[in-house]
Amino acid sequence: MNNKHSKECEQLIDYYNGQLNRADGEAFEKHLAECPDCQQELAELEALNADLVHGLEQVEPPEDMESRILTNIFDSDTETNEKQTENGDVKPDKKRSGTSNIYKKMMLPLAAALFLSVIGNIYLWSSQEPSDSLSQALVNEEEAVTLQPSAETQDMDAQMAMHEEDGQQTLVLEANNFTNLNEGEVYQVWLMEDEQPYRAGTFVPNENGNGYIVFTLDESADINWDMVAITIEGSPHNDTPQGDIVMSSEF
Amino acid sequence: MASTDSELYDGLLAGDKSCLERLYRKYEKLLYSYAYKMTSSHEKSEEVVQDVFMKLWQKKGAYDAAKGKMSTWLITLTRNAVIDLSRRKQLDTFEYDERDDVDNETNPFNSTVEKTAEKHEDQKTIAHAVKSLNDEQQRIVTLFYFKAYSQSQIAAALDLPVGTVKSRLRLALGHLKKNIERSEKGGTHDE
Ligand SMILES: [Zn+2]
Repeated sequence: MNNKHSKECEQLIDYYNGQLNRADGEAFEKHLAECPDCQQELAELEALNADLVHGLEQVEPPEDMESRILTNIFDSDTETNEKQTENGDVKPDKKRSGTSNIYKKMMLPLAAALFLSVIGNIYLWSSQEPSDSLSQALVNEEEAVTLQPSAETQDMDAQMAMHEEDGQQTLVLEANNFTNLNEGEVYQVWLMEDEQPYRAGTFVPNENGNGYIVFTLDESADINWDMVAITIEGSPHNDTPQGDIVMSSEF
Repeated sequence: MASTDSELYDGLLAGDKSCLERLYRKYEKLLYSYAYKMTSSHEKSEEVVQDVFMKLWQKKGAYDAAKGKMSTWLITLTRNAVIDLSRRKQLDTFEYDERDDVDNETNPFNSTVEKTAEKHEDQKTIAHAVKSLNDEQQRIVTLFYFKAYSQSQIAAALDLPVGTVKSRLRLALGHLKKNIERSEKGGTHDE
């Protein structure tokens, strides 16, 4: 906080709160690496935050959280499989486990490989555009599928691809001009086999209508999906499609 | 056997599961409470805690004991994980609501001081330091730290010109820091 503060130093606060877009965030990190003032101020912000956190009222974690988390962490060494239900119970392989939670799914190794290891900071996630690596994953994927809009959603555009690795299927989907959500609603992606729907992730696009999703399925890779559809759902937890289909494609 | 955080960290880097487990048990509640404060969601808080320890185990990002306490580093990782999660879900995790109002009964700092007799001394100290700020300062601290608001969001929420947010924030944080230091030195206070 001295007179040598440059314009760039002004961005520290928004940087700290993850509020810069990707380009600005990366530019600021370059500045940060060379600015002792910002380094010191950031360290002070972090230290004061830690003090505050120690003063918070403690919340008791769920009793079985420890075993869930440690199991997931140690399992991540050897396998990419993940078997968490919505309420977090660990369960054995089950026929229809596509109802698993997208939150958990997003943490799978493929997503990590696509994003975290490449960039390694939060700006990728906070950026308003799909990342280069995701776009590339879609473009490079030979079997990318372009979804067809239903009648009143003609401006929408969505592409998806399935990746297979170690017997696991991961769906990658990029959506543009998805602008017809009401407050509280989400877009839900479904994969269908013989009219049986499997949840394949939810997303809420940004203000420009762009969204993307990376979702690893529990189902074994030998299921032959015959259709993909995107619906609007009032809740991210609906087990079966209840809203209107906005886009779909048969395989 | 007592081990320091640094020893446990070295152990987990070497692949010793028991070291990760011990660090986990030591910090689970603190980090969970913090994540819950920011997300108001048990589900997201669990995901955040898992994310933090997953990063540790997978050796993403290195802890440098020379730069500060392990707990501070873990709290920063937790904060980044919360922000990550909210951005990639593109949901507004940090919706401001009445519960964040400082005069409200449910303000965590208020209840910490007044309703719970057996709180840890540290907690009382911090809560007291926060409460010693004026209302606007308490609000700006909450919006900045626990809502992760941008400067312009803070300006909008508090009806301030954007240009004054930074100086008000610095002032509030400066007071807060002094209050904490003072009460740490001064020992107990009567409340
Ligand atoms: Zn600077």
